[in-house]
Amino acid sequence: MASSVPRETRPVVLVVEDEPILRMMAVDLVEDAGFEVVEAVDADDALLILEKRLDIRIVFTDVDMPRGIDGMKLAALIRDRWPPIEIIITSGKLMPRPEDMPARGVFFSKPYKPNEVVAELRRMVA
Amino acid sequence: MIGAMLDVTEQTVSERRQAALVTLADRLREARTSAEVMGIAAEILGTTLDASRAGYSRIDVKADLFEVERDWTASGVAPIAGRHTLSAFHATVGQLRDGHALATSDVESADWLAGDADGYRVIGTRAQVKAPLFDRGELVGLLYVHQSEPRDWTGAEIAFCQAVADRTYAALAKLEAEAEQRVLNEELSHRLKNTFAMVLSIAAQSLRGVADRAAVNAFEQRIHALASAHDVLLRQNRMGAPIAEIVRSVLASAGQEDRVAPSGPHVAFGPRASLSLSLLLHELATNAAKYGALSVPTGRVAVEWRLEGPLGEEDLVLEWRESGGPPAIAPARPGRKGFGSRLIQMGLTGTGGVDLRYEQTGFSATMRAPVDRLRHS
Repeated sequence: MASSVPRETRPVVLVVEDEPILRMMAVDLVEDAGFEVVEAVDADDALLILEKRLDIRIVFTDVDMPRGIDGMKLAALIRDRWPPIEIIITSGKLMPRPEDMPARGVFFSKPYKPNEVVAELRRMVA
Repeated sequence: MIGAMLDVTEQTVSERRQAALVTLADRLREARTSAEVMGIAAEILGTTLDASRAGYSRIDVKADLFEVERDWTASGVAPIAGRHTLSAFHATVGQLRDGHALATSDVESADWLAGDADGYRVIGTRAQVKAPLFDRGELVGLLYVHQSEPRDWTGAEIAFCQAVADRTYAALAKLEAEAEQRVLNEELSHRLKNTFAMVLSIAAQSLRGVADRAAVNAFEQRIHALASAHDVLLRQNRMGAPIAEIVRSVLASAGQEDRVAPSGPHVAFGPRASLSLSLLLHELATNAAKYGALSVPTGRVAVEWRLEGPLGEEDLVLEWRESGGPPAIAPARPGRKGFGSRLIQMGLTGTGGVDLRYEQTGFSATMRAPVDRLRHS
């Protein structure tokens, strides 16, 4: 592994997406952009990971997940319990109302454009 | 003499009811919520019949409840808005079951409503007309007209109440159908967007090893253009997608909305024409970004459309005009043309009508198609 950036200094992004095919793309996108990626299959899974790992900088989450709470509620919980974490939300549904978005949260409508999401990830850790 | 005067009065009253039905139809057409529909019906019933009170009551027989959101009342008459138990009006409900409007000139002397006498006394009502609404055989609501004093309803007045009820219930059913359609549209849109996201994800995985990244990018961007076109379509209901909206959406998706100026009259495209136009504009914008006006910071594109030709047979003429960029050079045409240029050649309806000009000032294209076909395809 001849990476120019040492592994331990790469910012960590938690990807939350219940649809495996979409998760695959999100994971690749985050990794290709030079981040370390952790995967969660739903919000409950994401919360367990957030409780264990203290190095997560950004959560990139889907909204509509059939099990447990949805991505909007997850985002609100994160904003409450882990205020420094940045949040990116994506959904095939209509854009959430501004008052429903967490502070500093960014929304991308599905299908999102990878380069736009990457630019946002980079901006968030700059 | 007295007889003649009565005739005149009866005639004016009848004219007033006719006019009220016309007003009702006009106002119901503008109503956007069921509360508005009921408010309009209540007001027209109450004022036209000089009643004490009028309104719509939602009925839930199983829960033994009826609910009035807001009713119309003459001055000094108390409204009955709110939730009430239905048991005080069991005899009335029984009478309504046959589906006909119920008219009572004096509830105090109507022995078949005797069980409800207390109920009517509480709401200060002596005379009434009620037109029931049924859903799948179940009584779900009624329009009511109350009078504080006994009143002999004429056949024409009862017929008027029924006519108001028929129009009101039709308006309610239409709003309900539209709401259902909206929910379906949103669900469909949600699924479609997820499917587009999955297509892009599968493409990204499958084409990872492909060396020609330009081709992969072109594919992904075309899928994005298609997705944003569907988005525009599903946000509209029934009326089709306004051309300005399609232009804006495609150019925003291409990141070029600031440098492209769309202008023209309101024309709504049907679903197929919307998708064709979206893909076409996407290719034009891509080409402009690669070789044309959008390849340099000073370049601009004007997108203008107009209607031409005799009324009823107008063509839509759409111009794409680049300026401020390098001179346009017609592409050499060896062998098979690419997807993009073939798509552009097909024009607005897939059958041509396209004129491309490669000029010193930049590239421009004129596309023409019968507007009727664009609206209805």
